[in-house]
Amino acid sequence: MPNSQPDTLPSPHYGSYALITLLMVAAMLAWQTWITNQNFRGYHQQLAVTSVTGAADELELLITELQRSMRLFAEEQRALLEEIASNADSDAAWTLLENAVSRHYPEYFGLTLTNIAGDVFRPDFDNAVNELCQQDIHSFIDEGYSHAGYIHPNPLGYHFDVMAPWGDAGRPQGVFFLSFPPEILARTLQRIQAPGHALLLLRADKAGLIEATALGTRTELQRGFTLSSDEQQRILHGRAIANSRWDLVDLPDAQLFRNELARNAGYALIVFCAFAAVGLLMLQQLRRKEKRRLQAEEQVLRHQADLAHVDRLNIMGEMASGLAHELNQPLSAISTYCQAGLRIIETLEDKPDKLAHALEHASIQSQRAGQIIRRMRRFTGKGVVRRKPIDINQVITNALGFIESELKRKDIKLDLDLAADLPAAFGDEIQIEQVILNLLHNAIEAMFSASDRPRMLRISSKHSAADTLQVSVHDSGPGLDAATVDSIFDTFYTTRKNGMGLGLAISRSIIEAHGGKLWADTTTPGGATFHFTVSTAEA
Amino acid sequence: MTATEATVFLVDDDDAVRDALELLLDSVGISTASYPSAAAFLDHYDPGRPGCLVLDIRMPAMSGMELQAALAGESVNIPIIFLSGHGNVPMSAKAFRGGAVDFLEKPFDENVLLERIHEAIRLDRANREATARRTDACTRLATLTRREHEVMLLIVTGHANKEIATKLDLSHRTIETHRGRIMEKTAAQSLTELIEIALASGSHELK
Repeated sequence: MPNSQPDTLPSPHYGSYALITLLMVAAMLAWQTWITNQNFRGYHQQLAVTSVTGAADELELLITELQRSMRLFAEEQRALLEEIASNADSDAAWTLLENAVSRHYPEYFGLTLTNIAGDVFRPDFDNAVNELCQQDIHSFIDEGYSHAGYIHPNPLGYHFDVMAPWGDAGRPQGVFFLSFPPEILARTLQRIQAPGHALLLLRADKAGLIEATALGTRTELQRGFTLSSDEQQRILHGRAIANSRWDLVDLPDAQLFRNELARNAGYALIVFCAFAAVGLLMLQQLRRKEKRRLQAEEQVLRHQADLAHVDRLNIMGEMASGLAHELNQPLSAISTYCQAGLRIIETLEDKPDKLAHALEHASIQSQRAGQIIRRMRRFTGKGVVRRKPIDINQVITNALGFIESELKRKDIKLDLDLAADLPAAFGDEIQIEQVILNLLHNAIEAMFSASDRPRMLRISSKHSAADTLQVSVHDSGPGLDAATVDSIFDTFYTTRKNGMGLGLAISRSIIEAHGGKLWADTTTPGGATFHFTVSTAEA
Repeated sequence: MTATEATVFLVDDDDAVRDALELLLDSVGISTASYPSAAAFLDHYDPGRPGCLVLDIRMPAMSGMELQAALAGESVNIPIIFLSGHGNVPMSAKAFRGGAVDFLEKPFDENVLLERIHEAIRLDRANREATARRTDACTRLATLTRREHEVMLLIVTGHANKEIATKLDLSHRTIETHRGRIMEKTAAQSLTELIEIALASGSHELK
């Protein structure tokens, strides 16, 4: 009977595996978030460099071009300018100049003409050439007619000035200059500025002072005119603009990177949560499966223990039964001989009383021995069969479960022919299973001894009579010898070196106790067949 | 009824048990015939010999149970006493259902066995006498013609000649003639004897 303990395998640490997997997922997601963020930053940094470079080039070109064209203009209109210089009150000349300027510089904001001392010939802007403009003019003259422009206010609005000397080359007679609205600059910024970024024109000589943005000049700005230190920190790229007092910088929106980080982190968190949830569910499933597996294993062990227990009981019972049968025969003969002797003495005339006494007590003692054997048999006897409905095919399948690996190992082919829809048999499932197992073991043993033919084990079940089921086990072993077939069921009969010779005797006892029959069939060719019947009647 | 002495047939595969039983039965004056196997018994058994069968229940080849079934199959009605080395309840129940007289566990009490043997012999004798009577009655009745048989049945069921004549639409005289012939053929001395013969024949018209 197979009752070896299966190796107890340590149950897998699913929890630890899941935790490690989750940690790896978390690390991967963090890594990916960081990389995405770096890429985003790199992209916007590049964007800032491109925008600043493009816008700064354009603004430099604009200013340089204005300075160049104004010098040419002053040269061209020299006669007119000289006329105004000689006769400052000539409205006609002034109008002519204004018209010419309007034609060439339609966007100009104000027109001013001075002598070499910087005095204004004709006050423009209703005398609005203020202190800052004066400073500008003087610095222009003092610095040799080059000028770094900037935006400054006058009563009419913010503007920036572009100046050109007029008169003979190398000996200028004064300054001709035009004021322009800062919107010209703002337009360029607006066109080039990338979404999420602000291009700012800052005063190079006054830290953080904003001169113009894409929205316009200082007056239009809805916030302070200077950048906070925090904003200065945030600047991605900056460049000085030639011929001006300006730096062009790119300031990203305060939310730009923060939003990106939040979005990526949120995405990572969602993915992580999904992984964690799926992982937990799988873990739970695995735990449940593991639990079921352990339960099933336990059940198999219990079943094996039951079989082993019944096996021991049966062996004891069968040994007692066998002994009883063997001993009862001689005891019976002894008792009967004594009785016969007593009756013979009765017929004698001279009765030997002592001999009669001896015979009588010998008879009584043999009866007593019989009583002892009977008592012992009751004690170890198989008792009353527990009768329950059993599915005989299921019992066969259960028994096969024990020898499956042995069949594989010994290269024995199995041919199962189980009738479908069999009615339930009545009896003790464990005991019937033991009978089947016993027959299977005998069959395997028989085939193992004959190596010259293919090994084939055939098991069939059928409805053989009205209330009888028949199970047959056929093997392709050497078969049974007709001469010994009668003794194979005897208690203690065995062909094996280490067999006890109880298997078939026990099996027959069990089947007989169930009201069935177990017999060997010597007529089937090519091996041995054992049949047994069980009743489907409930009684 | 023949006067043949009853024989106890012993069938047991154990030589000592057989020998001891022969000695015991011989000591009380009962003749025995013993066989070591069911097959040997069947080979030699003559159903005409009266007696009973003492049978060991478990033997190789053919068990006591199987022999009981075989005898029943041949309509041999010999009383059987089973001996068992290790009787169990289902087995004894089956034996009794098959008509066994008793079921004794070895080692048995010889007095009980002898008592049962005497009972069985008596039972066998009674069975045989009943069988003999029925055979005899059937033989006698078989000589009657169909009409005589008809009249006989009415006679034994207590009808007077006149009633029979009316029933069968025959003359009184004819019935008288039939009656005389019936008594003659069956060799019955009286009406009572005729009734006994009719009953012994087991004629189903009387049931």
